[in-house]
Amino acid sequence: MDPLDHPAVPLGLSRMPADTAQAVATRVRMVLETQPGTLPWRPQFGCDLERFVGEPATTHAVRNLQRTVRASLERWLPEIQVRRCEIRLQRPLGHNDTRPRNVPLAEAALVRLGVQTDLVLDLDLETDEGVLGIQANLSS
Amino acid sequence: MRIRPPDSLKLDQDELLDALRERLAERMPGWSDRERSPTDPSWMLVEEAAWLVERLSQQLDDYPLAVLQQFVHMLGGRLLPARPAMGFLVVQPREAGLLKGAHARPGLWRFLSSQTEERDIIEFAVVEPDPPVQPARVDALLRTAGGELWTALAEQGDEPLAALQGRLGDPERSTAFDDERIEFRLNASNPESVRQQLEQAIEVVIGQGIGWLRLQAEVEDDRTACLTAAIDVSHAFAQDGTSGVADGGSLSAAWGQLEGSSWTPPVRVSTHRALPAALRGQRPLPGKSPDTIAIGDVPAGLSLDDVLEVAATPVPAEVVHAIWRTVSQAETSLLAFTPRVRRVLGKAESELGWLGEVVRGGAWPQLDRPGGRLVVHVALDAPGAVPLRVALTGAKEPVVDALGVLASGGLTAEPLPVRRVWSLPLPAPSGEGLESVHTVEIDVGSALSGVVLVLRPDVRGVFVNPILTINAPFVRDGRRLKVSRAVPETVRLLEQDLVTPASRARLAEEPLSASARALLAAMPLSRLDVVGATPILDFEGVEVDGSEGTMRLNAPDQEGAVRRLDPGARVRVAWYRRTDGAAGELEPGALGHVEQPPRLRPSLLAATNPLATWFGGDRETDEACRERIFGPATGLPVMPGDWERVLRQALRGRAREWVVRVWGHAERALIDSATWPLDLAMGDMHSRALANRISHAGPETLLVVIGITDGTLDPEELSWATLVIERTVERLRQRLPVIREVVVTRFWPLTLVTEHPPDLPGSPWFDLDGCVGELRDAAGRRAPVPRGRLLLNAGVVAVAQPLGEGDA
Repeated sequence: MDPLDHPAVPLGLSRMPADTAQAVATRVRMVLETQPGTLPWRPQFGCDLERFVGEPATTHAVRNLQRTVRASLERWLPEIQVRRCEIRLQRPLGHNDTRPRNVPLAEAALVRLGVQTDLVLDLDLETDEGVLGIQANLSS
Repeated sequence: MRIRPPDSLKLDQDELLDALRERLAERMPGWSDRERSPTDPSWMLVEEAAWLVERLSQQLDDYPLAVLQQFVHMLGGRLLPARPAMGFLVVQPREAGLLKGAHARPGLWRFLSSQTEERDIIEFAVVEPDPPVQPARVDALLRTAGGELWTALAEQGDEPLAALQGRLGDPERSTAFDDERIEFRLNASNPESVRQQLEQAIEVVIGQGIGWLRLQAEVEDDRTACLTAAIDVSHAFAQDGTSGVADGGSLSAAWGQLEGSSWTPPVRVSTHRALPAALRGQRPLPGKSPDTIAIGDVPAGLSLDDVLEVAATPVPAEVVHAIWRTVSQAETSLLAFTPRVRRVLGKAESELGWLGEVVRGGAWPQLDRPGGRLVVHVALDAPGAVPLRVALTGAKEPVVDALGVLASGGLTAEPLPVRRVWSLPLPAPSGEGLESVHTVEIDVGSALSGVVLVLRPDVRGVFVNPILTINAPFVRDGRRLKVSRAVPETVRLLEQDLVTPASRARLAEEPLSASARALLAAMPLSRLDVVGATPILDFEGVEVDGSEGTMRLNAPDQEGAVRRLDPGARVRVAWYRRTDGAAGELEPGALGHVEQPPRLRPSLLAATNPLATWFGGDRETDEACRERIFGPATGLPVMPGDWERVLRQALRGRAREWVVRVWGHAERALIDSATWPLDLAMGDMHSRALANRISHAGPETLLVVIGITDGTLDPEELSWATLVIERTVERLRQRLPVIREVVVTRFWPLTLVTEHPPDLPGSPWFDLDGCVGELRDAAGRRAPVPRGRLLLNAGVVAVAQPLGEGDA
């Protein structure tokens, strides 16, 4: 059997080796989707996003979330430089500002702010092969 | 040395990953040039595998042995130090003297083995204080049996120092007395006239048919006539016309007797193959004529030497008198003479002159005792003012009678004083177990030319100048230490395996004799000189670790005593001893080199160890230490059978054939029991003390009976076995305090004399219920079989039928 020329061989013979963009995207995803403590041999690995679930999407909270993501990426992907890390709120599709008749006025103001919102992450990462832009939805 | 903590079996994941990185760097430099993290899925898999390996390997450390070893380590379990081998050397000195101070000071006599490809130089040192040595050699080794003398010295071959060793070989008939003659010297103014009277007497004696007596008269000088008498069996047959060669048929000889004596030469038909089987070994029958003997059916062509064997025995003293009585009565004019009698061995006189002195001194009966004796002549080449020391092997008891042979001729008037010095069991040359080496010292003076040792017939070897030695050579350290603090300070010594009080105690657990133990206890082990104060001897008040090679000043020794050394005290480590452990067990003859300062006296020319050295052992391993302290294999004995098994294990192979019987309190209390002898009035002090002690012994006391079935146990072996049993009980008492005391006593093998042999399983039989008859022991004590009583210290090992009225 011929020796493998790269250990990062995807499972399955039909898969082709990943290119740099896909590889970086995969690694970013692994950091962001791993809750610290999940890997017992590296309990600090990952990005603690779960603590923001259920928090009001205030400006302060979003800024904290942004710092957390940047710090995690800079720690676990040291070979990649984070040029831009922005998080913006995105209302779900089908949302409108019309107040239903059965909702009182005071509560309607809260509903207008949204009881659930999506967070969209925009990243510009500088790799060996140039700047790579990644956009990810943190809510799904 | 403190027992090490166990080696961890855990595999560290970081080390595994480092190893992987190194391998990747070799094979894929491009891939491994940056630090990998779990963001790389392949590396995450690798890390996970490493983590799993670490977790699983960690569980390997949870095995009980490792845990036990950790416990032992935490408890401070210490490894037992190495045990030095012991043995004995025979040495050949240039002059007589004492090896003064050899046991207590370094730099004197050293005994070394050769260096080989497999073994370094092994050194032995003297154990005993001032052993005497003197130039001497084993000149002859003979045996007496049935009144005859046999040569029994085995061929030594090229063995070193063969002259100092006498080993028992196959016995052969001695020719020492073949040419024995008795000379009767008569002083007379006219010796020629006396010679003529003697010739007339000889004619008369020949006429009396005493053919075996050859007489010859001659004039020795102008004042002395001499009659020489010799026992000559062929002369008796020649008188009958036999030429010395049988022509078929019977041989007859003139076999008359002397006046007032019924003695005739002790002869028997030989075992020559050509002779009829019925004749071989038989005494000749009386002939047809009076005063003759005849041997019938002798095949033709055999010489008289082929047909007849003459016992190798000297002429009895009463026969010497009878010869003169016969001669003087044959010619009455000779009755007026009182001859000077001298016995000469003839040709053997040059080699066995000492035997001639024995015969002339009338000491032959001391050599020829029932059961036979081993007779050894040790020639003293340059006797000095020190005792002659001799080692005996094979005998259970060193019963030695020593006769001094004077250089001026004759024997000393009294037997020489003999002292027992030490004994030591060592591997028998046959390879079968151990045999005891007993050493004795005999006071000899400068007037002696030799010593005749009369020994029990079971002695198998005699060695001159034996010295008890041990594989514990001196280490001259010489370092000077300054105590800087009044707290324990560790000093690493030059050797790792030291001889310490602990190693001496370990050696004392071996089956050494009491004498060897006492010498070991008195052997100095070390010396530390303290400036301005008394020296520290034998590590007293100093903690020493004989398995690690360290000592700690200002720390307690094994007895708990501390020698306080204040800050500023100066200590010079003068010397101590080291050992090679099991490597010190050497084969016979391995110790062949002597090293000594040039002007040291006595100067030793050579040395060798006739028997293998023994008892050496390496320092304890971690595993053995763990087993010793936490060993689960040693169950606690409860029943007497359990105790018997444990005690047999403790006594090891030496007691393989022994009777080891344990009686608990239940057996002693619930069954009527008795001790031998049944009639205490027939017993000695020990028997009465035993009976008294058993009667007062409670449930916490065991009675252990040990012995052999074909005799009585050697007192030294009984003493050793008692010590071992007491220590075993003492050790087990710490785990099971039910049994606190043990009474060890000798087993008496008994013979049951009965007309109705019982059907009893296995011997010895202690419970003789239902048996009738009489019990007897080897000492001749008798008693009827006790009815319904259990014998505690005796058992029946043989059954015999009564022979006559006295046995009924």
